[in-house]
Amino acid sequence: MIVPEDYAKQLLARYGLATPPGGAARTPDEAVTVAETLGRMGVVKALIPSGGRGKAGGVKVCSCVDQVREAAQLLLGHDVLGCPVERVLVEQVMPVAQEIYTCVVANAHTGTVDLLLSLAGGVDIEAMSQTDEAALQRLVVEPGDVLPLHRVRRWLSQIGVEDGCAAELAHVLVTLYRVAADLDAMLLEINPLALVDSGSLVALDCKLEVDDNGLLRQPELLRLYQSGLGPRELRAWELGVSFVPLDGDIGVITSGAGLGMATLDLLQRAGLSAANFLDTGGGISEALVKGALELVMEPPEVKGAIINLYGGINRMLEAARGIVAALQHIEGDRPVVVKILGNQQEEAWAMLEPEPNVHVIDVIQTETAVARLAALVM
Amino acid sequence: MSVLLHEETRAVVQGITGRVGRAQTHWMLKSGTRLVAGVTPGRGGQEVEGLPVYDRVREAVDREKANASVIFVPALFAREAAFEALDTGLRLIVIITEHIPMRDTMEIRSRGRLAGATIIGPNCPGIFVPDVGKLGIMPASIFRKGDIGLVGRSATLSYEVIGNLTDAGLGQTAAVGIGGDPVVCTEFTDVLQLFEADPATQGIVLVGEIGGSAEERAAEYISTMRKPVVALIAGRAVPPGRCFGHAGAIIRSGSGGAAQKIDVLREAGVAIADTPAEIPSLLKGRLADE
Repeated sequence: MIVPEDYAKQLLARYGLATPPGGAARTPDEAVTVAETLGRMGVVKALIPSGGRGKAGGVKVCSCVDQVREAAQLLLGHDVLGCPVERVLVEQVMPVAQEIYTCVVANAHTGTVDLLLSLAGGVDIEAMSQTDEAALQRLVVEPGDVLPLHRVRRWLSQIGVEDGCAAELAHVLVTLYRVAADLDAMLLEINPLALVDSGSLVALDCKLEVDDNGLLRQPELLRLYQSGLGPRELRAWELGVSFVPLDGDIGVITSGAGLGMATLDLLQRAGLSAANFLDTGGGISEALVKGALELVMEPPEVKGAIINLYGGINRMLEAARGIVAALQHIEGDRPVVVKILGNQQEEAWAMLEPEPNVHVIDVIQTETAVARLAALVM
Repeated sequence: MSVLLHEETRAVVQGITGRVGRAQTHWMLKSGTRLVAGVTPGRGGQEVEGLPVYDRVREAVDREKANASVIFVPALFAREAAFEALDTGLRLIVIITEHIPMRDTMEIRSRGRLAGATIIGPNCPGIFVPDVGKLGIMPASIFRKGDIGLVGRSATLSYEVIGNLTDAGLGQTAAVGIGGDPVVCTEFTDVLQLFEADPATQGIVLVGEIGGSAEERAAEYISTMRKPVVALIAGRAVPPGRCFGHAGAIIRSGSGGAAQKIDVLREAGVAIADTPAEIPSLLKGRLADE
């Protein structure tokens, strides 16, 4: 989950980290109301879950309230980097003396938590890290370890940061590390962390990506996550399935993500295009399969579906009951090719046999199921 | 001696009194696995499928001489369960549980490495060794004893590949599911090394998918291997930047895509299957070349 910037900054503020004065707005009028509270005129930023926003025109610097209104009108209701802008963040402009890049990342490649720092800062950190690796410093922390302040201070001194802001920088870095640990962050990036004229450090931006599995113990972020879901995504969440809508016209239900991706690959080879990805996960039940099939067949342009389930423990008879229950009120004569194997497979096949739109595949090869579906819909 | 799981393995089931733990214990016993006890804190003294249940792993080790564990506890309890098994001295631990927060997995992995333990998973189907048994949830019906080793990230896709092998008369020495999360405790390379060293294994199938760099790291080792490897990479049709169930299966900024993985594996001498059903014939071809 990518946490919106305004919300992420509120979280930082709770830990005592400084962020620019400002607030989010849904309309140009709201943007002006926020701007009128600011001491110094401002910056208007599109709130979208994507990096590279500044270069794509998603950040506007304004010198008066009229310009704030104009910037909000330009951004709200439009797309930046393919994302619709529903809210903007209006903030005070800070007098920046130096820009610093810093980031806490749960490094899946090494299994460690890495603290990255560059005193060069700036927007083009990715390009810079490739051309000038030495400019990007890295402190590697074993997972689960606390990061004591003295270790960060020693590290800063080793990499040559010993001037005026070193003590405060160490404090900010330790705090960011703690925020990232507390929130199950995969990534907490501050670019830039600004040294302002008063000598303090202010997080001008904040990119926070939280582990979806961590939401189990982050009730506040879980509510935020759910409030950001569309109606179909919310239904999928409530069913406990992993659902991604796609552009094609073939519904897909699989048990397991790998089998799901392999099914998508085989559909593509057969000239078919998936309308969605849906992984049931391990907990197949009648209600789950019924809800999943209804969800997948809901768009009228979906002309058929493939259900590809392997039930180790899950009784496949339950899955068959779910399919039959869903088909009772799914409109249209659309074929559903069902390949279900595992516990109680024979009973499941027998239950599905009388269904006019169901085509049962009783071999393990998904290729066979895809070929059958292709013959039915093409 | 077979790969990872053998006649001397005496496993404890952590989370045995839960719905999944109980059902899977039944199937593991049916496959001939030597399970010696279950553990659920607060449920000591009960019995599940004829096995004694203890409050702590320590008791299962002291009284039943358990030397391995398979974990079915809920996601937020998995770190504690794995730490308990590690701290009690167990050196083979299989974590089936899905949806464990990544930072917990990183801690488990780090502590496991310090202890010199083998931890399989999480979010995985475990280990299956025909005629010996299983620690995990792989269905016994698809297996036949033979000389092929399989290692895969995805559970059900691996089942489909194993079914294809068995249908084609290619039995298995062992199958190991390493799990679909971005961080797993045992990597492809670790399992490939076991198969390379296992005298009974003649050929190997790797079931990979998009996301991360585990396949690329495996390719480095495969280029030094003696035994033939056939691979399937799922996710060619997946658009970049989308997360498809396996949190690990996400293509980020140009890396982790199927095409790159396939190129690197080919370069290392791996035969790439375009579909699961192609694997047996590719493998037979490679074995005939030996």
